[in-house]
Amino acid sequence: MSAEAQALQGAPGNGRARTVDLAWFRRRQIRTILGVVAVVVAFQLCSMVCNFSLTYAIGSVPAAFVWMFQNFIPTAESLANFSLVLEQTISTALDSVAATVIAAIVGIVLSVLGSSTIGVSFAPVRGLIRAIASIFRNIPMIAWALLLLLSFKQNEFTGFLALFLTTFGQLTRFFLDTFDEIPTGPIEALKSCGASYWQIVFQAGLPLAVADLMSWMLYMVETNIRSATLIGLLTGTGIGFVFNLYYTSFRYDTAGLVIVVTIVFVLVIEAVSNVARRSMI
Amino acid sequence: MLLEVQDLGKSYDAPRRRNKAATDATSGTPRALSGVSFTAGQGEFITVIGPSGAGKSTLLRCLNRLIEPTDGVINFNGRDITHLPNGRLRKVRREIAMIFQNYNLVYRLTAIQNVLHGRLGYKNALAGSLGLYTEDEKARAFELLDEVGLGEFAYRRADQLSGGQKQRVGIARSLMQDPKVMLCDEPIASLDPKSSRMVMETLRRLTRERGITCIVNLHQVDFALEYSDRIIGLRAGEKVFEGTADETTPAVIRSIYEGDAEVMVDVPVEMPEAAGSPIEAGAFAAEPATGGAQ
Amino acid sequence: MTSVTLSERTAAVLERDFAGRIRVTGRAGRNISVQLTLIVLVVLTFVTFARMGYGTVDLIQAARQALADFGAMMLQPALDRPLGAGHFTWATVMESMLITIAVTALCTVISAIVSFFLALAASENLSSSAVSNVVKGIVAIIRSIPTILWVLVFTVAIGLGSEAAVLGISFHSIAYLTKSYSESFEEIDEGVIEALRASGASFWQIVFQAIVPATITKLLSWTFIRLEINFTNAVAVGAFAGAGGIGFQLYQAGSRYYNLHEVGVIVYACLVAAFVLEYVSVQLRKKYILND
Repeated sequence: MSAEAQALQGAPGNGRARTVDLAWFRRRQIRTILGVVAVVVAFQLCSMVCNFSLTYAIGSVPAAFVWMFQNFIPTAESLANFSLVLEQTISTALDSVAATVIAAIVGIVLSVLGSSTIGVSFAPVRGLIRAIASIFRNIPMIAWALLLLLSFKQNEFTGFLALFLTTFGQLTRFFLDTFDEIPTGPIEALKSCGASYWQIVFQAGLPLAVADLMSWMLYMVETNIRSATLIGLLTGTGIGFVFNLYYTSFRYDTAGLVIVVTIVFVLVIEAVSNVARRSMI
Repeated sequence: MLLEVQDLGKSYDAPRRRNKAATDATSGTPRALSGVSFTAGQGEFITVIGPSGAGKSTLLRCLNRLIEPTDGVINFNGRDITHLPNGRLRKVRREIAMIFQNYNLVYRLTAIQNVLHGRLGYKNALAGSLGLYTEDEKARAFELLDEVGLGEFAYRRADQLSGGQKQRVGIARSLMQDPKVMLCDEPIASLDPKSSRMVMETLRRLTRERGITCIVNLHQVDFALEYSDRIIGLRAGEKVFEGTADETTPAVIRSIYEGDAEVMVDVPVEMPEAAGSPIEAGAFAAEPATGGAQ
Repeated sequence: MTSVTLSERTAAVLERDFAGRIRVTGRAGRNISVQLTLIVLVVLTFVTFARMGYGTVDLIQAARQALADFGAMMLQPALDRPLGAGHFTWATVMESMLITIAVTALCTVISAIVSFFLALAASENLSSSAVSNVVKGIVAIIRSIPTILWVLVFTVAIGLGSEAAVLGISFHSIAYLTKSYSESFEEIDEGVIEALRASGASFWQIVFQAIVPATITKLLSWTFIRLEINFTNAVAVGAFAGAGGIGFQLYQAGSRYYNLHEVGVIVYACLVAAFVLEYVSVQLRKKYILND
């Protein structure tokens, strides 16, 4: 965009200013068109690579929704399984909370030490912590679930562990970003008072970051309920397991009930955490 | 002498992002500070003036080693503190308080909690971390807040206070340290003229009544002339002037700010064009503090 | 009780606790929502551990094995014998990765376009509050359904294939982006829109002359963030959508062949792709934001 700046400043006050200005508009127009063309070409290429038909996809959405409403609407029959669905949803929600809390405990220690504002002064340690967080965050959930399934077998604890490991990487990254952004002034002030490292962490670092840290934790609880569904599918626990059970046996009405209960749970948790978030500012 | 500074220098080997402005302002010299020497006695009020980027902040932060000086010696209370290890540095720092342009309060904590931070240097790591202060400390914090006129705001969160109030909380926090020296880095740069005057009055009163030495960075020359026992002029990281307010003539001020493009903005006093017509120090003080607004 | 010499007004403010100790936070201004939230979360965590099923395995033994497995995965990745078993070639891994990246890109483009128009309807300052509330409500419901459930539902509704994967991921992505975009739209200064309206500009003129230029950096920023999330999701649903992709190979290696060395190779492939995406996204964000 330096070309634009040049064009704008290019000819102050002389007769060519108008033409330069027009050129700038034309250039912008050309750039916009080029951008659109690039996206269209990339879209076509990607469609070819993964054998995707846009017209088929768009065309099938209405039919899919009709089919969904015909088959996935819970019936009186499916309500018989309500207690099982509810129980599994609660356990999934609880697992999400527990995974978030444990991940937050580990994450907060690492992110304090690894942050640029209140971290340890030895740079390689900070780099190592960032690398660990990044690797854990990017190892696919499926890999964690399958790895743990081999040793811990199929039970709820396995699902919890898989959830914890993915949450840990993400939360540590969010926490690191939060600590990186706290104002450095108060930290400098406490240093000048003769405060020691941990005094600065507890008396300046944490108070300055706490609202954002809590906000990220609540966000992780919300997203974890969704992630837990996939992990449950792989490890045979929670809502993922119940959904799969009815889904693979073609009892879509009960599978629909699982979806409805999930929606209600997520919306309630979102509403509660929004209230909590607002009161913390 | 309470504080003796000899040949203090600071250079950044690699151009660091944060001090880029300083490097540029000193026309390419990578030294933020070089060969600065001065002494400060008990109860003295010293201001450091100079164009932005002259190294005023660096100088102040070298004195309590928030920035590590690269050359020179700092003697505090008869003791060389230039190379003290961390643990003993903490003990020195609690006697050298600091006040900041942006107040640097922990905004989520109450005013009284911020004042109590001044005691952290005296407390062990655990008690300090958990904020467990003794009753005497808390009582003293209240008395200090009362003294700076903010007793009623003790339980207010710091972010609910006005700029001038925040700065007075900052002063109470530094008094909580029982300091011998107070380093004030542009303490009134973000304040309106009325609050500025109030803060400067408070600082001067402290030097008179408690015998605390104040070293103040200012870019409002009129305030410097009005309050200081002694003025140090800094330009491009070097000390170019030292003298009383009376000795700080307009010619001297001009020479300190010479070659600085921002001089017109920074010096609130109108410079007389006719050379050789000295203006009394009092005349500057009478001028309204137009430099307060940034 | 420690005595304090204070002015009358300050003394009236000072509070002491039951033991006569001076308080450092006032009763009135105290905000315990952080503590309260933490307590609730911690109590729920204890409840979770108390009622959790731990299976019949010896946990310490299992932990030791899991650690060894993790080592095998991360430290000895291999496709060929002796460690690997030759189920995959580098070509398959590459090809699958390409498919996953293609799915990611398609989802992001589709959801960005759809979300843009939905967000216009969802922004209170651009549409009516009734429309805005309806769209926001629908979007909230769509967002609360996990991506994997969307994908599974679409696979039965329209059949296995990349369409189910793309649609499934896009739905959640659309919900997310609509919320983010509309928040950006709602932050626009009301005066700008009013001025254009007063000058007789049509709705679409306002959108493309004022709204888009004012928010484009934020919109792009959100889109790139979503690109990263979509990649994670594309890997995750790969095993179930029947669209192939790296997630499917990962699932095969882990749950059919039980070969952790092969899993390791695929995991590294995912890590590299994620890092590249993150780098590109950060660079693009930097470029767009810095130039504006």
